Amino acid sequence: MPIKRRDKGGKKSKTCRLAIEGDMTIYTAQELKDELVQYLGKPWNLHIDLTDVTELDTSGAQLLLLARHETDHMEKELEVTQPGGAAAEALATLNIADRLNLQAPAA
Amino acid sequence: MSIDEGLQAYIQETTELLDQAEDTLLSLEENPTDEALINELFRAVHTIKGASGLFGYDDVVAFTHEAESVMGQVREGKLAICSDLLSLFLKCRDHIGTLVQHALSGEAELDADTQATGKVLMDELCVYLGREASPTPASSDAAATASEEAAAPESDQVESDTWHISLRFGPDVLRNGMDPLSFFRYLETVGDIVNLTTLDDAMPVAEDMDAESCYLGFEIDLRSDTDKETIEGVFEFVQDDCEIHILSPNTSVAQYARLIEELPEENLRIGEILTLSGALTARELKEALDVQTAIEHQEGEGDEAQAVPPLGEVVVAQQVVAPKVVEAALEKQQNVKQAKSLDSQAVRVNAGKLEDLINLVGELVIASAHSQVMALQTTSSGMLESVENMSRLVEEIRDNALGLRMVQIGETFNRYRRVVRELSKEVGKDIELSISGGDTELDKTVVERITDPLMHLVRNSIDHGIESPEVRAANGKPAKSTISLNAFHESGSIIIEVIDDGGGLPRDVILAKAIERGLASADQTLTDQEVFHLIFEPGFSTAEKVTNISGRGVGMDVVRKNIDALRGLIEVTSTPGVETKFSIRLPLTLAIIDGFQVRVGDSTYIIPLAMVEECTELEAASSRETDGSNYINLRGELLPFVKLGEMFSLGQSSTQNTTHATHRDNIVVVQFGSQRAGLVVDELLGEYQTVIKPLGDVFQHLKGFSGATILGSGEVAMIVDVPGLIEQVAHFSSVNPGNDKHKERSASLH
Repeated sequence: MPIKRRDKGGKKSKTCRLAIEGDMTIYTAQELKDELVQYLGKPWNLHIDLTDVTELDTSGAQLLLLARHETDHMEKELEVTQPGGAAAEALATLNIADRLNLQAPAA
Repeated sequence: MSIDEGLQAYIQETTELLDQAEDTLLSLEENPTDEALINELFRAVHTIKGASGLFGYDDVVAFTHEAESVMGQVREGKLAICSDLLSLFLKCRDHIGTLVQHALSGEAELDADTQATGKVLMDELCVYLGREASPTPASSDAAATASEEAAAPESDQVESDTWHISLRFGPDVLRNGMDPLSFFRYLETVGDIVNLTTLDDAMPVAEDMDAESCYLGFEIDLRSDTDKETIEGVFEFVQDDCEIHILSPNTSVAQYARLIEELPEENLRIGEILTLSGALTARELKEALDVQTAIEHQEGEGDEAQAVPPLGEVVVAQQVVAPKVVEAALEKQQNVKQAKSLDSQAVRVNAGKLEDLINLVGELVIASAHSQVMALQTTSSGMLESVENMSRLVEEIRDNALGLRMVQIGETFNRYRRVVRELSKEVGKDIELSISGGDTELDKTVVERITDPLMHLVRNSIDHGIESPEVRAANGKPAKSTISLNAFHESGSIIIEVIDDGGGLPRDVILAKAIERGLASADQTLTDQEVFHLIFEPGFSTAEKVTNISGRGVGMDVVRKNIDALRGLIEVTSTPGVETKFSIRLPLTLAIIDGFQVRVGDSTYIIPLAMVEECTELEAASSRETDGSNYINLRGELLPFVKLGEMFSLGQSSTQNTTHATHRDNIVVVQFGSQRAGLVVDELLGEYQTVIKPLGDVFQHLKGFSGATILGSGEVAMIVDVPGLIEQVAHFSSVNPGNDKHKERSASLH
């Protein structure tokens, strides 16, 4: 389970907080997408914590953009916590920080 | 798959492929025309390139690409295998191996020898490529574009010193082991990426999206002195899988117009991006779109059908009428979007800052009380009024500040859904969790500290509370059992209930166990509640078998300790065969309360107002004294009471003796949970906002007080621990009424 849900869930929760661990690469893309889809298209704000993401490639970034599409569609907020190192560089290169509402990790 | 695993796979794969390439080359020596072998060689090298591209090993990719191109020529039959070519390929194969080793070593620079070898091989490969009379399709395109550019009138040129690159990747790029990111990294070695915009407009809905397909497009502005071919070279590896448009600096407006038209996204969107990225100014964009319209008009004239203007024309029409307006509208749209997201966004505040604020509000409350005392001494009505006003505001600030810390308990409740689902499967019981009152709010600190105790109770209910399906069936109960979590407010407290519709607590078993452990004696008469409370004693477990869920006899005492620490109370009620109910009563907040100020002897005490039910006069006639244990008849009900003065060993204070004739005792009736008791005090002083100051470690074992506060006059007043007192009073009255000796012993114990 590379995607962990951090909040307690349920009908009343307004924000779904997810944390992704490990790699977000073409190797894991399908698995991640299958997990991610369960949380998409729901009427809640989505928060994705990438703090523990070690590697991120275009397919990983694409999944985040998919989340953005789905939250936009539901007219909900998306917030993504910045990963470290190489993964952060990848997001910076793609210049999608604003689109993903990228936040610096909490101190 | 972690990086290391991926890398392992890469190393293994490349090694195998290189061996395979070597074998193939050697076989080709004998069968130079075997197509299967040539294809195999091409595939091997191609796969190495793809895999290296995935890991961003640009050196490997760049070199392998050249080798692959020559092999491609062979495959297409444009080149014949000869022994020179084979030995070149073998050298290339060795060089690829060296490059891979180097890439894995993580060193940035190739050593001079490798570089020299690479250069020589590259040159040789280029000779083979250069031998081809016809230029590659890409370069013919480039030539055509170049001539067009040259032909374009100078005035139409876009004032831009950057290359503009539009990329639309095909769906299979990622699957083929190419990562657009690695191309961008490579592009950065060619020039400066001034701007890169990722376009995800082609993204389908989640259900239809294939995580291994690529839906992205990119608009890149590159500042570089290089030529078009070099830039094209960067993307040559994917040119089959990617729609690429490269516009050189100072391209004519018409070129941009064509680009806009050719890209799959809506024209205005592309125009917007080009403007945003700085490739075009607003004026140039308008011109570009104008040119486009002109072209379309020309085409349209021959067509005669002008009824339906193409989309581009509509856009241009808008632009021509009021380009500023369109621009402003776009800007406005964006501003609105931003404002909207700000509105619904919560402000994140550091918990420490909030803590500071609440502490300050606490001090403010004390200061306000002090000024009230001072104002009373001045007897100036204006002063009194203003102080009164201020203290009302302070009260509101206090409520608001405390409200900031309030969170709904629903989130905590929902956390147990998963626990119930998983554990019930584990123990083979069909259990449903029903939640009510999830919107009940209480202090965040309280919520955090109640989570674990609640978890214990829920687990206990699943394991012990709910009977096995067989037992339920035998008792005629429905197979599906329910655990309910309820939360609600009651007289200044919040009550959280954990109810299961299981077999109930086995009173006899608990009692027997307690007697065995020496927690109770056989000749004691205990109420149900007292028996049930024994389960909170340390090390008490009635479970016959220890499961990994519960039953180890740790837990329930920890539950009670946690709840005690929150100044809460836990009660158990149980109906055999029907249900067990744990009720946890918690204070709403830990910081500030409304207090009721009373005087006992010379000291002032605070009783939490939420627990005060009524105040009445203590009439000597209605009280029945039994050696320190007291009852009054309150409207026909027996109410136990304690004299605070005696309780706290204040002795007979000077005031009480001297004013005995006019003195009358007041009794404050307090309620906690289902129990009531009276506290006898000397004087009722009225309501007082109380900032709870925790007692230091030295006083931690002090019974009867839950904290202290500072009064407006600067004096310290103790806050009476009503739950503790009630427990004591109720203990006297229910366990051993009339048994004086026993009572004294338990009194000293408490």
